[in-house]
Amino acid sequence: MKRFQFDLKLLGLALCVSGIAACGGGGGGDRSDEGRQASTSKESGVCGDTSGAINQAALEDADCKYLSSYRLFADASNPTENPNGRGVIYDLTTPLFSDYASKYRFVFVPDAEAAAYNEHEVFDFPVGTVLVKTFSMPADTAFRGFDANAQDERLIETRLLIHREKGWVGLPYVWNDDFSDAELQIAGGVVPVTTVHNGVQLDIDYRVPDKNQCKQCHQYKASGSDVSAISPIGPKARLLNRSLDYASGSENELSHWISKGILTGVPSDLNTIQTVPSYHDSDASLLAGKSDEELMQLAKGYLDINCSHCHRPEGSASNTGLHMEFWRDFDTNLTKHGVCKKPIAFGGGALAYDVVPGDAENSILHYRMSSTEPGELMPELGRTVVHEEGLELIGKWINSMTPDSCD
Amino acid sequence: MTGQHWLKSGLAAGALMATMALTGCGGGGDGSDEGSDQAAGPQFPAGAKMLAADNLTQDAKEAFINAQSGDVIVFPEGRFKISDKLTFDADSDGDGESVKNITIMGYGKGKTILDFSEATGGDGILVENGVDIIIKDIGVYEAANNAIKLKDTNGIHIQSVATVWEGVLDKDNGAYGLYPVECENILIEDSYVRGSADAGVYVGQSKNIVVRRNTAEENVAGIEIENSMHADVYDNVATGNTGGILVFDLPIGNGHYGSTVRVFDNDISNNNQENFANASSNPAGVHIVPPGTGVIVLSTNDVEIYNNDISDHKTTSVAISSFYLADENLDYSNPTYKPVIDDGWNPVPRNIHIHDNAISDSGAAPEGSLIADIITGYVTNYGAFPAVLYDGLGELLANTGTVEATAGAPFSAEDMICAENNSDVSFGQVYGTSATDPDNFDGSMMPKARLLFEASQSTLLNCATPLNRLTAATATINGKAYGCDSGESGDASAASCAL
Repeated sequence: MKRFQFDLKLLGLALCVSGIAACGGGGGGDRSDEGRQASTSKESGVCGDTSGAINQAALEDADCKYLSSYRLFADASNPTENPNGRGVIYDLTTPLFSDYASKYRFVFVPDAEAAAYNEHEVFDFPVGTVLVKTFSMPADTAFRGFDANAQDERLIETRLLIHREKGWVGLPYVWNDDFSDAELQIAGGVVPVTTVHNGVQLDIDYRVPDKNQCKQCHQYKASGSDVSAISPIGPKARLLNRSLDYASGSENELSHWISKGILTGVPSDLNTIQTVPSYHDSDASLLAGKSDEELMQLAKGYLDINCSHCHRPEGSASNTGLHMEFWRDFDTNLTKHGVCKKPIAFGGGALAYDVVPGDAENSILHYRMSSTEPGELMPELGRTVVHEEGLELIGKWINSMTPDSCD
Repeated sequence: MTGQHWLKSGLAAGALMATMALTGCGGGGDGSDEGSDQAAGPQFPAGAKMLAADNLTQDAKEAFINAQSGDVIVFPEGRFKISDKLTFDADSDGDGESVKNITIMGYGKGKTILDFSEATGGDGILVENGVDIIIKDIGVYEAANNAIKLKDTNGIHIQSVATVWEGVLDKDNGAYGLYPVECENILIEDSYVRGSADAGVYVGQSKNIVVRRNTAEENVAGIEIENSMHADVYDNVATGNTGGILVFDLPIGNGHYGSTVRVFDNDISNNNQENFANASSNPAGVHIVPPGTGVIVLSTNDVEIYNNDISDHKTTSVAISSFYLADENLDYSNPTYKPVIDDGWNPVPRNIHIHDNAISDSGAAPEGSLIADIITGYVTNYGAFPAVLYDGLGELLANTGTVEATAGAPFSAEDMICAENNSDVSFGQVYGTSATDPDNFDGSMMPKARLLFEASQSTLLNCATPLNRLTAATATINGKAYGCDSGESGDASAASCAL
């Protein structure tokens, strides 16, 4: 049927079939007294609600069993285009690496509301907002793009991050065997997929994170707070200040969000926004021509989106002392960036410092990016193969620094 | 003074540079006794979530994700391969409402064994953002990185848990067995840790810690308290490790620095294992621990080591050191250290009290690359290596008043390193501590190693002003206080507290 293998061997496939209660109260079956059942829906209660452009009530209240119950896309089997309601597609200047999967991101801000701009953090989205990200594996990474008919990309999972009254909630949906819909799998699972990257076939046991693993990356614990909130990672000014091809033509994403009425408070001059430079796999071949300063910006941007959601004082890796947000000044925070810094929580490897200037091969940061061994590899979650292009960037960045043995 | 290369220049001037071949001494225990479970059978409360043996990884994940306050999650009896890291976050939804009082347990630490040798995650069990977590009667084996890690958790009771890497002691074993970090109110008791390529019990960047009645066997470090405050370590057995019990304060730059640590009434013996940590050149990684060391205090303030039985260590029984020994490039002018010193880290230990320990059979065959020059100097000059060793360098530099930004102010009486009534063993101090004694400096006014030695303690660490006893640590879990001054009833280690 397809040009490539996609045996669906989800470890957790059966978990949510028999009992909704086992899936964290999903399904909204306990809300059937609201009586808005629709004959076309797979679910009852609020998840079966068919009123409105999207199922806003379910988004704010219920962990539906099926992704389709939220009615986020015109075609329930295609989460890569044509969002319903106020849905807006977005992309980041530099993405988080996820085993070479393609990603399709959408933001849905409730009617008549808008997110508030923030210089460094994720925008302050109103309650009711949902961020939707679909992971899809191309048959060949040279030819990305989802086409339900051509079937060159295989849908894997769609993650919802919903801003509810009490905070953000992450829900992982895994696409079913016939790709007609995706089902909630709070315990995650493994999806074997295959892709070709630079002519080499990669057989990947793609790992859908469980709900608690979602939080490991998406947590934000403010200094002095006892609350470890869930936070989105991507929709920050520095990652969105770029142009994107919309149906209406090419436009800066922040400008587009303003024009759509979903973002307020943006500086009038977008050039004043410190922006992560674009780095995609095809850019690796251009690294040789980059100046040291360009490498610095590219590397800091890469480390920001790939590492700093944990490696920041508010994140899961706060205890490591390695803190690498893009806005953190490098020259006055060398140790925070790992330069000649001894590892705090790294038990393996024969290396001494996170970053040895001028010596990528002896830098733990580089080593852990080059490893696929559990306990060695970084990031811990969301990666099972090496991101060769990311590794090359970080290697060149470290080697561009003035050599220092750190001893 | 520049802050550079004191140690080397001092040693070059002060130590006889004769060479001596130190034997390899491949000692180390071969025991694999995992301890015995308590005779009583497992007791599970009504309503306990009994996980099924089939599909255990996914069932455990579901139970962890769906846990409600008061849940008892029971792993089945037997040994099971777990396929992924098991993460418990007490606030899965991040709404600030944590589920509390969660128990994760098995049928006994030798009866329920979770084998992570084929798991895709680095840690075995990871607990985050917990409030009152009880882990007991379970074994966690062969994790790629850490066996049980707990982060940002307030209230941890680990009881009768085993974390084990079996077989040959190897650098590729996991790092930490029981590993709370950035936590508070921690009680670790009656547990067994074996085979860690770093530390068996490792409490880091935490406070209010009680570690008692555990057995740490054949790890690089048996028990390590690092960058933590208010910790009591008592009535444990540390044997067959490279170093028995370590109290370290490292330059992390994270606002967490150690103080008020009491190590007492432990049985610390035969920690002569070859160091099998990775051969990292990290200045303060555990690979620097000299094989054959009982207790090490590095950089930490306010430590009391008393009434321990410290026997059979081929290098030294108790070592107290500033961070200068770990890294001669330590200086406020060094950009590696400036931010962490600004952050509150102190590289020079103060107020260290070593008393009433029974120390025996120390220094028969000293080794350790970090202190190779010191060993050579002592052995050459005295034919012996001190059972109690103090570097003295940090104190000397502090007393000069010239490097206050790095070493702190000159020592006052309450800052001293003091020892008394320790079995009349030998004492050594690498540097003199008086800034007014010209013998402590070379011609360039650089500190000069003295390699002071007393076969029987006389003036070294002999303080005119007695140090104050430190206060006990208390860990409060589920509203109940544990520890020496907690008013706890039925503590099997109460006799230790009376010391």
